Amino acid sequence: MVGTRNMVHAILFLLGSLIGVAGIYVLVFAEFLALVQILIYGGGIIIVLLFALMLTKRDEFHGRMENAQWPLAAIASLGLFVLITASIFADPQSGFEKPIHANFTEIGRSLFTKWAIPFEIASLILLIALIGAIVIARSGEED
Amino acid sequence: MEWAWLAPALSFIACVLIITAGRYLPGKGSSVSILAIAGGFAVSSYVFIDLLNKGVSTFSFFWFEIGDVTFRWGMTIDPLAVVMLALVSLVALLVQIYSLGYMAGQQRFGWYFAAHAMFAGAMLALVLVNNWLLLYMAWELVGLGSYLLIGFWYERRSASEAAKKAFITTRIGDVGLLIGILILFKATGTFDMAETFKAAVNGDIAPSTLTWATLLIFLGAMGKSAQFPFHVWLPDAMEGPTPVSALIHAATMVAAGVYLVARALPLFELVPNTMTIIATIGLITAGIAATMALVMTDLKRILAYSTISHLGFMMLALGSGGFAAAIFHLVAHGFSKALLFLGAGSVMHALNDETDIRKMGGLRNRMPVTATTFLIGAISLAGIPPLAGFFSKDEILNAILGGRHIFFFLLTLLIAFISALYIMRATLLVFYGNLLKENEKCHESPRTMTIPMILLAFGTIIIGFSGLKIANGYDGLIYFLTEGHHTIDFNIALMVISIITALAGTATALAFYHQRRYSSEALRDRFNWLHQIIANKYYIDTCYQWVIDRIVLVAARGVALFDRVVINDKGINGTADSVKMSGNKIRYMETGMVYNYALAMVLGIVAIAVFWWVIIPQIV
Amino acid sequence: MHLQILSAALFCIGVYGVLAKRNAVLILMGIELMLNAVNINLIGFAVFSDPQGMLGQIIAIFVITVAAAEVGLALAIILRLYRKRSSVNVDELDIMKW
Repeated sequence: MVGTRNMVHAILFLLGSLIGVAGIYVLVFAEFLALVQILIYGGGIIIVLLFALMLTKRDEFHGRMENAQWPLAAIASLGLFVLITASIFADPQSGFEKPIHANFTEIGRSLFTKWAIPFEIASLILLIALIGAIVIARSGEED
Repeated sequence: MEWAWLAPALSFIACVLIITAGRYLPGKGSSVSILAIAGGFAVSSYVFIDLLNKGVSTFSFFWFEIGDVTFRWGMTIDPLAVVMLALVSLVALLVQIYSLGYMAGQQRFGWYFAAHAMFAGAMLALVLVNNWLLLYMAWELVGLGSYLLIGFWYERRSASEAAKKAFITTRIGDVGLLIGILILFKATGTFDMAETFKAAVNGDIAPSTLTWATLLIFLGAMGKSAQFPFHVWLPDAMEGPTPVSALIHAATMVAAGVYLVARALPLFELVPNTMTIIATIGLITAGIAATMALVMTDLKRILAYSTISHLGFMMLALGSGGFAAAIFHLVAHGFSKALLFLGAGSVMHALNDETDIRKMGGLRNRMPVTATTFLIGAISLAGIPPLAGFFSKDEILNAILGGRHIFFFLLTLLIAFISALYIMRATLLVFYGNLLKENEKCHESPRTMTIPMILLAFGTIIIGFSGLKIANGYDGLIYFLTEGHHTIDFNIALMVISIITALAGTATALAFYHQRRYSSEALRDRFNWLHQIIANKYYIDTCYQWVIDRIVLVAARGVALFDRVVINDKGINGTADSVKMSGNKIRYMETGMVYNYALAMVLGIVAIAVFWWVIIPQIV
Repeated sequence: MHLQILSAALFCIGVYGVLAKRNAVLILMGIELMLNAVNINLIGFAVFSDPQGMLGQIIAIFVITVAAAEVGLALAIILRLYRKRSSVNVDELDIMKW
């Protein structure tokens, strides 16, 4: 995604990555999450991004895709990768050999009992984001 | 007797009253001030009688405490203090009454009397206290009073310059006095005079310390009493009103130095070197001042140099161990010189402030009272019996003969001759001779001015006899002053010698100036080089000016430059400028582009993590 | 552990996307990548280290929720910005500079 020049291609590659992630979830027997991933990310967020692309594009991109500081950015991200990997290897966790199967019903039940309050708050966040997005995008029309 | 502190207190209260409410008081405050000083004189008389009955006493009250040191304030009532109290209050009273007439119609009339009251209060306090610290405070107040009064007509440039000169010159002496007092305090741990004397006599103070302390205290006396080389302020101080000159520069402030040395004589007597120095400086002062008085043509300046000369005599007497002689001469000179100054003021008042004696002459007929009293004062000062000056000068000569080398004695005789000469010259040129045409309209002064002069003349006549045993039970002033240790000495040969000297001086003056047998102008032309040196005051003022210009002002400019360039420009402005400049350079970090900041964040995380986990363990 | 390394790699690619792109939409996509990487990490811990295997997944659900909300808002901002300046080039957003 970061490599292409065509923006639509970039978004499609993102979609591919997200589906790949969903696939990984399936492989570790976290099916519920894979479902959620495809639904929300692929069905919602990619669509939104495509709309954004449609609304803000005037003509083809001239010049580079990258901005002026890309060498430093490359170094920074590479450094970050080295850092995280080094910290992973510095203290290896001993985990299970095989992944655990997640209990689907248990997840659902705990969402409504133990994790009910974060659930409600998450819905509140979505509400606020919805209203906020409308407010921000709408009041710009008077400019 | 414990009410003696009322004498200075009354005058201080009067000063405050006049400053705050002077406009509404009768006579614009002059009445308050005169009442206060009259009250002071009454108190001093009462204290005098009490002293005769009860003997010497000291009072001491607790003041405050710092650490282990207790500061007390108190008074010592002994013959010296009482005599000074009487002299100061009486002369101050007479001068203030005289001022009613002299300063009538002047602006700031009330302020004049307020300053007078403050000065009188300070001077009275000076002679009463028994504590070095309080003495220094009163000393400074006296200096302040003198500054205010000399510079009374401050609209005149010369007057304000003279006041400044007086203050600064005496200040140099005051610093010496302060350091001397502090040295004594460090050595004895107390500010009380009596205790320091006791400690010194017991030998508790190291000789070198004592020498330094006494020399520095004498430095203070030199400043106030116009000894060489600090005498330069006194002639210029004649810019003030003449009553001020009469009070301050004849009888009281300049006497403060003599009083100081007299009071501290127990200390000085322990250091023979200091005594020699005191006597020598007294002699030098007397000598050069007498020669300068001889060639001056300004009446007040003649009297000023005469004062300096007689102060030199007093110091000379003190340096020779003649404590009582010096104080006796102080009193006699106080009366005589105050009288002469008041007379001079009267003449100036009649002639529209003319002071050049070459423009005077023959005023005897127009101003009889002034002329007579002036003559009495002059005769007393010349040392002709039976007036006060004769007796006191005789005592001084006696002391010198007994205490010092014969060289001192001979020089003093010469100076006595010159003293008689110059004062008679002044009298003759002013009051005798021919009346100049422009002076024909002059008249005698009003009664407020003549009565004090008459009283002072009276005092001059009888003070002389106070030295003798004239009544049963009263053994004379000398006996009184020294509490029975000495009596007046009648050395017949000495008396004859001093009378001859005085008469010789008078005769010379008569010959030159009255009978015109010899011409003073011809003599002056013949010795013109000498005349020039003396008339230019031995170029001492020039030396001082050179020092100030080349050394003091240059140093001051250097310091000012340092302050402006280094401290202000570099230090203060420089710090601010460096902040401004660094801000100027750093502001380019704010690019306004968010992704720069994000990059900075990530790089920061990486850097911190590397630093924390890799480098720090290596250092530690 | 492999999942952790994968997560790290994805995260760093996302960081590069955020820091080095000129188009604001691309930056947004970089952020999404980062959030996904975090999710992988969480799931990895959940299925391999947690006896119940639940907590990580639940947290991952919440992360996805928040990511969705945030994308909506970010988009609104980008649209507003586009209307003002007719460009989503972040290089031109330097009003608050020195």
